[in-house]
Amino acid sequence: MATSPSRRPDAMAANTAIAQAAPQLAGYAALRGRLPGAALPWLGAAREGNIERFAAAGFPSHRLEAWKFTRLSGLADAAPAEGAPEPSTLPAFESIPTAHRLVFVNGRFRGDLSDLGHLPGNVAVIDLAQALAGDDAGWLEPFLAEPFEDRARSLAALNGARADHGLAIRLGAGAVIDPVHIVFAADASAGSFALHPRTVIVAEDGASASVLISHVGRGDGAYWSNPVVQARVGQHAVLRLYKHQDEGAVAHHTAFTSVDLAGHGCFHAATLGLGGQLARDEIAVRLGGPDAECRLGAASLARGRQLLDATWRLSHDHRGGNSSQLFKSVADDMGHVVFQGAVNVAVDAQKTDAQQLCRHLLLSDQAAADTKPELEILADDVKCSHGATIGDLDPASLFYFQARGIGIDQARALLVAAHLREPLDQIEAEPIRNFLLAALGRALGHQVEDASA
Amino acid sequence: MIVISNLHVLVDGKAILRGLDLTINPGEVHAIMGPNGAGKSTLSHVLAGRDGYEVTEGSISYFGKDLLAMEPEERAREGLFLAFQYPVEIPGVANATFLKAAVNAVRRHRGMAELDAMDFLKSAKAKMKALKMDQKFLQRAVNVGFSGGEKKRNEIFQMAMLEPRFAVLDETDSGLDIDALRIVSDGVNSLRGPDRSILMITHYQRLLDYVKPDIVHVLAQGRIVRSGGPELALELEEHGYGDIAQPAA
Ligand SMILES: Nc1ncnc2c1ncn2[C@@H]1O[C@H](COP(=O)(O)OP(=O)(O)OP(=O)(O)O)[C@@H](O)[C@H]1O
Ligand SMILES: [Mg+2]
Repeated sequence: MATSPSRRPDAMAANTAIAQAAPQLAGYAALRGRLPGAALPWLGAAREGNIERFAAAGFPSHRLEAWKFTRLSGLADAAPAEGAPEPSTLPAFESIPTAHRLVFVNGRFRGDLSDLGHLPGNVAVIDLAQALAGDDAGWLEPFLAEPFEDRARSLAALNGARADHGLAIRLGAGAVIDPVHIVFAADASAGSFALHPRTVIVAEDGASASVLISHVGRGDGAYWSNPVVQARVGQHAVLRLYKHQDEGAVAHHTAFTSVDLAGHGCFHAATLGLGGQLARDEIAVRLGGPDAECRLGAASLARGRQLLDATWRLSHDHRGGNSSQLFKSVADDMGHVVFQGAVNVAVDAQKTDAQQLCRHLLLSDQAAADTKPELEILADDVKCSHGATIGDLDPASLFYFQARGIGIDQARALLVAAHLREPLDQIEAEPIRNFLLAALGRALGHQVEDASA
Repeated sequence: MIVISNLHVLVDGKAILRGLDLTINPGEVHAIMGPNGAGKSTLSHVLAGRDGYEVTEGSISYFGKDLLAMEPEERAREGLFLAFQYPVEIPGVANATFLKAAVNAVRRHRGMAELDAMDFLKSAKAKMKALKMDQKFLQRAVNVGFSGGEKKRNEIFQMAMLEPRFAVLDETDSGLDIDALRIVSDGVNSLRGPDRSILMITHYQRLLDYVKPDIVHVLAQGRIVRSGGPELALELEEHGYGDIAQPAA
């Protein structure tokens, strides 16, 4: 008898996966006809393809290597599938006064709260539904029709089907825009619902853009935000993409960002992770041409029972690429921080320079941090390094503060801010840097000053 | 008045200070000299309240208060200042942020209004000018990438801002170039006054040419083994510690 002992549990797992996916399939079916671009046959087909991929894979299980430390079972068992209702109150959010601003509340584009101001020439910043209603929606096809095949990215596939709101930014060759602030706000007092925003950014050759995306949730509803961002950066173009994750206290946030860099293209990203019960921020960057540059940074602050996961994958596919990853975290209370940083260097990607650094601070006995660096290097003439530390605040530093009259609580707060601000200090776009430092200061309950002032 | 009596201190289970007595009156400047490893920095750390030093015997009275019962930050707010032999680097915290927090913590304690950013900057810039420090140091992270001498000068700058009534300078002269030594000495001298006490730990006579001490002590084997006037430093310079620092037979 060739009965596999694992067969029953597998079958049970499969049944669970089907049961968990079913409400999502129904939710999609109910909305299908009303989604943006419903009249476009290619888009309809793409949505159908992605819902099938999600149906086949279900919610990612922690048995997948990419989800090893982050259990989604809490979300999978009760993931909302309905679209968001009208907000009952407008959630409070901060914005950058000088920025071109686009605001969505509960998945609805809000022209009244947006202010695109005067857009520079050769730049479009447009609500997704509007973009898809126009005559030249074709340029969006390579992005919106992308099949998310990887089982570990089944939630991106679900966004691929749902994509119920979002925006597109398109910079023609040599165009410049700085800064753009996108706000996805949620009024969670309305209960539980799902948001599947989709953002597409294209910077043609030589273009340059600084974009901040805020995810802000107010109220104590258990909503789920599942954003996907796709960006293409042309030759000698620069995209600076920053993120302010401040979802509601019991919200789930599962984000997937994919970026494709052409030769000499440059991508800088920094994320401030503050909110959510569980937040996963996955970023995949392909250095798809020679001499491309990618710089990723993140500061995560996990308190209470928060789990904050940053999962990055850099693919150096061509020679001369340069990448750096800087991840800083603080976990307090029963907070849990996860960092997974993968770097793949293809056999032809000679002269690659890839650096990775991960520093966790644990402020309580029950806080936890996981780190998984993954380096797969097939080229031989490369410079790759990675480092990881987990620790408490340095006693010698604390004493130095105390010896100057500064109380222990203020000393700790200043050192925590100092630890977390490093990736934010690297942000070149000054209004965005100041915005995120201020947001960090509010989260820590004191001012974090701009060191370069 | 600061009165240290019969101070015994263990570090890592090892007796470092063994019955140290020292009294410093307001307005006095004392210098402590002594061989490497004698326990001079240990004394300075115990005064400032650093962890890891076990006081097994003795007492320190600080203007009538029991210093050893106070938290380090409380001591600083009560006017005790330690210029560290090895100032600590604090990446990510600007010198200005650090010092403003310190100045205002001390001011709050004294019932004074906190300085706002403008007043703080004004005062900081004036003191930096006197110490010939570039104002760029305000925006730099505390001691990060400072040269040895710049760190020492930064300690004196902090001291000037905090206006302590008891300053302990642990080898502040080490690593200073000739001009910097003069500038730092001027800084220390300008702090001298009838209400202030200063304790300088040093290896070199040179500092004492600029900042004339009232009393010079030799610390060896964990206690003060000899005290005298400024001429004692000259004598040590000439003859070394020799017999004075030898363990008693
Ligand atoms: N944390 C520690 N663990 C073990 N021994 C220590 C520790 N700190 C200090 N000591 C020892 O205590 C003794 C006194 O050290 P201290 O730093 O006070 O000397 P010092 O007089 O300041 O010397 P120097 O002139 O070299 O600065 C030394 O032998 C030193 O090795
Ligand atoms: Mg010493």
